Amino acid sequence: MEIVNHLLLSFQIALDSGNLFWCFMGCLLGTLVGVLPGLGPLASMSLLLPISFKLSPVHSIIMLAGIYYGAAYGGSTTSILLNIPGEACSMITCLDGYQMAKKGRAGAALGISAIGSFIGGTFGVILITVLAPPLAGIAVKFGPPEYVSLMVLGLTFVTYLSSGSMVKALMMTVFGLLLGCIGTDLVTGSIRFTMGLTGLSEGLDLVPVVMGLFGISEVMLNIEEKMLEREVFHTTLRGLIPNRQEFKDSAGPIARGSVMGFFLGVLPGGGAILASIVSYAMERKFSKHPERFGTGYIAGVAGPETANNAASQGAFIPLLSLGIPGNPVIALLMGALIIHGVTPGPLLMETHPNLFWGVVGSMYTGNVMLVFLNLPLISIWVKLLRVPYVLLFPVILMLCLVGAYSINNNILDVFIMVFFGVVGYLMKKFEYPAAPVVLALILGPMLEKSLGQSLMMSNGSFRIFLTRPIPLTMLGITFLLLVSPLLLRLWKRRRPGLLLEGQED
Amino acid sequence: MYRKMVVLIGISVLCAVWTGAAGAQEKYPERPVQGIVPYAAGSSTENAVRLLGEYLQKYWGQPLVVMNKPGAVGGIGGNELYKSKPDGYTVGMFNLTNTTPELLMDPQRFIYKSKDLQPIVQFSGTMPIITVKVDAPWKTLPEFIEDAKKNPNKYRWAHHGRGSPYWQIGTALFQHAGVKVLDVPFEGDGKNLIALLGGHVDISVMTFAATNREQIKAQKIRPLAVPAATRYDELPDVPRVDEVGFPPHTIEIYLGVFVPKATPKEVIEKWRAAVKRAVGEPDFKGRMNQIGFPVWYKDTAEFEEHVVKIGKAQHDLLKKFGLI
Repeated sequence: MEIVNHLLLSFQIALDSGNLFWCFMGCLLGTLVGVLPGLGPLASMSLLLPISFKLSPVHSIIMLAGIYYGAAYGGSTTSILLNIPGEACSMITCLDGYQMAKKGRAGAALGISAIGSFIGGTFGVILITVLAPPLAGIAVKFGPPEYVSLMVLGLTFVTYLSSGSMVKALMMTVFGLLLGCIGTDLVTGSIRFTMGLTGLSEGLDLVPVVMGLFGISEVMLNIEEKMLEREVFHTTLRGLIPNRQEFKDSAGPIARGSVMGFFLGVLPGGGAILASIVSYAMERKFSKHPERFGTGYIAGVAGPETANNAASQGAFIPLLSLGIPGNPVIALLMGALIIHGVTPGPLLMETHPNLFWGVVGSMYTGNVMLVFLNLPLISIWVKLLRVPYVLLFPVILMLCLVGAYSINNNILDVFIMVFFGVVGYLMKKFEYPAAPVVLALILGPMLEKSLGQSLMMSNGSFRIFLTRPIPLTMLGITFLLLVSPLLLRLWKRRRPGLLLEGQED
Repeated sequence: MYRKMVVLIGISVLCAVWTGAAGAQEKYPERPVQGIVPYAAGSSTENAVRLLGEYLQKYWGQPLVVMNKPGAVGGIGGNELYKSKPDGYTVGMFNLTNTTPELLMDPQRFIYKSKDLQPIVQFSGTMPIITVKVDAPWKTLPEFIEDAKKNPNKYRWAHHGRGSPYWQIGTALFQHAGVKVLDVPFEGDGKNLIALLGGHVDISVMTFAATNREQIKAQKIRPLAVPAATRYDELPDVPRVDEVGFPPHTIEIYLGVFVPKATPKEVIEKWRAAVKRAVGEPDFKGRMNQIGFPVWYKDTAEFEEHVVKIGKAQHDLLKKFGLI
């Protein structure tokens, strides 16, 4: 019954005209920020922070939050249309989304992206409403050993991220792991591989690397190949909506993406990009048609886009229930709250119920606004493809360069992006997949750091991973995943009737 | 003809020099001032800086713009300040991690030395506390030490990385007591708090800011002692470490305004006067406390001494533990 009261309170507050207006502003800005490659929610939110001081706490949080999850909607637009991720978390959408655009299904991809984002986001809000405290309790259970097992499990997913040679994918994973070694080791404090550049002492920032590997390289490739004769994607109005088969194929990924994405988002350090990668890998692993991934299969768009939105919502749980920010963007939101005199903590629900439920309510309205904002915009975005590439690519490049600088006000990030742009271009030419690099770059440092912390906790003993329930379970699942192809083959051999053509006995 | 030109050039040069010399100094600041915060966007330090900036904007009519330059434990921010023009339009909002670089660990990440920075004023700082989870069996710090003595290497404590001020506090404490407690580094207060709440560590050295205050109010964590020179106003019942049998803790984590050494005296004086005025405003203390920051004011001369003293104290401690 209390839940109903809470819901009523949320809607009462959220549907107030002032809150609706600021929610809309936030969503609009967020979508724009998401669409523009390079410019991210963090930079734009910190720019708008001073303006938000003039507003009431509820209004400013609603607006800033709107930017945050709005960006998760818009990021897929350029991924699908131009093979350039608008946000780092939309990187995975490039894999199948762009292929769909090439086949003339850009509208369907954009549509399912918006729909999936809506379902993922709304699902996330519902879970926040109902389960905030217990979920926070789960988040807290994840200590270093749990993260180690999660990262190990995550790294096995790298095998599902490429459609080509497995050797090349693994090579790129190792490359990513090596890149992850750059920076300061948390345990000893020693600085590694920074080549004397102070800017690298925190390691490689993910966004410039993704922008370079996926964005800049794509621009370079296009300039080389089709500057003059850029193929125009022919998409009619009919093509703007996914057809029935596509809806059917998307249902499962959306459902799974919502659940899994949300829980990954709840874990501090998890996040939208990890959620989208895991969703893609999971869908591919359990799909009846794994070979379709990478060729323009809608499941490869629906799942990740849903997951990254669900994860964005999930990241609010540690903030709203414990007062702990799970990622830098939420940390900024928290800073905004604090400046307004509202300190998030376990008592937030009791001391500031209007703020708490107002923000939650605005998430519902925000998601609705975003889906209505994004769906009609699809036809406009599709027209973007008609712009001659000669005019388009300088704009894209400029946005990427400015965006890369805006992350940390550090020119080094721009150089990193350009460097990885060249690297990515070469990788594309020689058909080395880029997604495993990014996955390893995310997971590698987290794994090493958590491993160090775990062993310090256990005074050097590895048994800590076997005596705690969560690591034990996850490592067990990882092991099963790794040996399952082998087991499957052995199983099939014992039942000769199941032998497929081409398998020797 | 030639003479006319020389005269003309001479007058224009004089004009240029004259307008330059008349100087923006009297009208400082004429445009927004950048405050370097050596942490990523959203840090608690940024909140304190923005609050101060509100008052400065009131006095000067120019905003204080926060410039986030995170990384290398203050190294990137410090280097940025050192490289900037010493005209007072770029200041650093720094603490003890990057103001005495040659006395700390890994000095090569800094391109400057202490003498290259001019401290102007201190206006705040960070208050460390030693906490346990509220359902832990220890109600006082000595109780924990007793237990740890009987069970070496069983308990774990959280800090922010070896060499960090929090690590210095804990290590000094446990060494003095002669107990073996496993140390686990975490990046930041948030992760530190989760580790404590989730039972992954048993005791923690963390800051008494924002979120942690709420956790204490909500009775999820319990502070055992404060490693400081005086008890904290909001925690009147929590003893200082030297009240429970430990040496007094003198390494204060200050937060102050710094500029490159060559900055003109007038600019430094303007800053000094403005911050002093802000600190004296009736609502400043309340608002700072609300965002989790104390008001610790030190004027220029006193602050200069303080910076040197704290730098030396850190150096001695790090040397004692064999880290430098």
